[in-house]
Amino acid sequence: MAYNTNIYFLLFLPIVMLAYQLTPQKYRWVALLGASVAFFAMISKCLIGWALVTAAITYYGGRLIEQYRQIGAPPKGVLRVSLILVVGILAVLKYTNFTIGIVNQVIAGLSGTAGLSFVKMMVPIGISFYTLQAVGYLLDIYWKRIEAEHNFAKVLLFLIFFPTVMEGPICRWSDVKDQLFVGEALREENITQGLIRIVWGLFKRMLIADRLYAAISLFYKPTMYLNGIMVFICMFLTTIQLYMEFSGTIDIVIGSARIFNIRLPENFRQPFLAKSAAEFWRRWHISLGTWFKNYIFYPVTTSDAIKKWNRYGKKHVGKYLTNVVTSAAALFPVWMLNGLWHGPQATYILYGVYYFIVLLAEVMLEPAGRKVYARLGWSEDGALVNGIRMVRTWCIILVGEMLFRAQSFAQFITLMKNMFVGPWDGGAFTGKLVEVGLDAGDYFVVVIGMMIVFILEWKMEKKPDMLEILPELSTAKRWLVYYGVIMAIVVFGAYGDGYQPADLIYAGF
Amino acid sequence: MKKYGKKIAFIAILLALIYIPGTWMNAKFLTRNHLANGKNGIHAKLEVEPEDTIDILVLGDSESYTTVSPMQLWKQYGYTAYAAGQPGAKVSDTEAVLKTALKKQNPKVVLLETNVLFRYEPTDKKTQSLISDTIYQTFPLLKNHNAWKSPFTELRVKTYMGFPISAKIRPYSGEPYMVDSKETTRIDEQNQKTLRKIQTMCADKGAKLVLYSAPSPKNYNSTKHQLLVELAKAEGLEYIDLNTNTETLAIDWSIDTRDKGDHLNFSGAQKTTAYLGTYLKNSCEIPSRRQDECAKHWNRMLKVYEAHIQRAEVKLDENAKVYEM
Repeated sequence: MAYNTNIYFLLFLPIVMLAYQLTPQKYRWVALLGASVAFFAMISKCLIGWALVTAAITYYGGRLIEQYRQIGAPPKGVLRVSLILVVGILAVLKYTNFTIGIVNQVIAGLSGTAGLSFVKMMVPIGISFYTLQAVGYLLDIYWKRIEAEHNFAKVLLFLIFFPTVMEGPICRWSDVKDQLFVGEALREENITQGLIRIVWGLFKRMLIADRLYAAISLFYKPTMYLNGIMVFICMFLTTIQLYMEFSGTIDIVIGSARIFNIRLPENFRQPFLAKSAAEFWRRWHISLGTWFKNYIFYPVTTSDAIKKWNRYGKKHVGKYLTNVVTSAAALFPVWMLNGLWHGPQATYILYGVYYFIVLLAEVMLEPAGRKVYARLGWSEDGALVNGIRMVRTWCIILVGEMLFRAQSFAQFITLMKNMFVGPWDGGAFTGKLVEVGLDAGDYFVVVIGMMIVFILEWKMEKKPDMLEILPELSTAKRWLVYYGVIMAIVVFGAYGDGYQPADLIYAGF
Repeated sequence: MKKYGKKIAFIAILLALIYIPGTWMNAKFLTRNHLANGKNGIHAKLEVEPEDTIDILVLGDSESYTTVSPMQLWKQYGYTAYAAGQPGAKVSDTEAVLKTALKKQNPKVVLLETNVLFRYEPTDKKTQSLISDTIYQTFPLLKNHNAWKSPFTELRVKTYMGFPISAKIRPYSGEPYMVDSKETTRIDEQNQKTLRKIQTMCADKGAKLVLYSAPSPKNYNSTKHQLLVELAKAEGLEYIDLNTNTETLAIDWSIDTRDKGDHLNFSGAQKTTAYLGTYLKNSCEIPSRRQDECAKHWNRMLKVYEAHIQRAEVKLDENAKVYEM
């Protein structure tokens, strides 16, 4: 059961709402916990045991840090052991075979003999997401930002809350604890807001992401040859499909939680309006970026070693070089871990390397860029410079998403080569467009759907609460919007026979 | 009260918007307006066929309707057939198509292409399908919502009693595929149960059920062949594997496939239809319908079909030359 299935909308969610409402306020969070355990178990069956183990380590780790502090003992050891155990489970379950593969390659390279055999590993759903939440929870207690929770079941609910467990957003304890356990009764206002968000998510997914899904899968088949223009289209559609799939699912997630008056942090904020790669990452998968910023980037930049370097560098090598080295030292672990977090696959790790290089280049080239604009007499905040920056950022995003989606690095290189070497069109353009299983009707719906989404997002840049204020419109206008969107999904959605809903790609991480 | 009234009105209008257009979307409306397309389209197309006019029903997934040309069987034997396969069909979909067909037809033979038997449907998907089917029955608009795509698809693919003419060539250049295969596969128990249901439905209507496998290096191998031989034996069914007969059929993988051995093009389909036609003539009692009332309609269709075939042959020759070079 995923968030985009009829079982979730027509059975699971209504049953949870009913159970939640019928439970006394004090125990409503228990109803949410029951629903979350059921949701987890329905997808990962007995692998929920791993989530329970992580929750137990997180809970006892937090309590012990607190107790050590109370008796005046340094809690660093407890923190370290807890983090090693929590991250260790993730590492063993997700990266054992990846490590074995690398070891085998080394052994084969050195001696030419067969190496270690692979181990069959079953990975529970959402392990990458709840592990980051667990790490954040432990570090926040250690840094005295929060107090340790004294109820194990509440820690478990925080980690496996059903709307967030599959794709995030990655929450901090301080973000959600008050809302998760307060048990406020279902209210019309919250249900309406939640449903608006869910319908909007379905619009993005069913009109665009699900319609493009089969084509995107075909694009990356090893046997598929794409000429220059098709590589460009592939890159563009891959990015659009991924965005509509992920942000659409997050809309459903945020809407589901909102029904219970739990306001989850936003995960996207008009990412394609970014004017730099750094800004893009402040708008795309925000909760992951925030997590890395809080728990990796800041601790590195405020570490003693970096502080010493900053003092030394400013005196001896100048401000520019000091800044570049500091940025490199902080960005490197962030992007290596970001790539690795997505999964044990070379393309994900290279995706991290790619953004490390791009972001460092942005830091390094920023002063030169300013000088160029000044010499040309272009205002830095002018439409022209902003336009150039946006187009440059789109190019970075498109290449990055193709690397992210490619089956292997070799395939990515081949595709990039095809774009610049060989026939740009070769007269096969329209043939290829049809060959990937999309007809003119599909392209028409995708283009119109994209236009609606992007126009709305452009407006949301100035008015971020556009969806929130929808219920304030006059009845006629409001109903027109509701019926319009719902009927667009009903008629133009890619569902039913002949369609396969797009996999929740981030649920695999 | 006013507050609740508004909510009830909103839901009532929404349900009406979804329900009312669906009531117009019956089989006649869909076929008359060329709106019966996609996987579901076949139900409407079968429903509008005149009663008791189809003697051979071909069922399965895309492997079925790319191997049997009903117009060729009509021309050669006067048999009336319908290629009622669906793209990506599961065996449960095939059962539903048979159910629709048997409402008005009394076929003498049902040819079931076996690729559907290997399409596994996970249990949680079955629950989803059950929910979807219930909703689709209540709101036909949801089931037929893709009708708006007809102007885009109908223009591209014209079918003749379910058979599309494809002149595309993309050769299969792999190794011989019916040699010893190491692939381990199985026929799902649920699929076997559904096959038995299909068998009972056919027996109740006095139709002979025959299993056949379309030539397809992509979908068949010796393991599957063996499984199907055993299944047919266990169920007391006749089984024709066209993959073990490709030499007799004279299938030339350099020109007879449209997608590297997944499906046949019309050149390949002509060969398999000829083979199956001979089998039907020799092993089944099927009357010629040339003197029947329906013959006029079939002859009219044949004229259109033959004109289309002529154009397709030219195209096929052009495409073959590309690969000869």
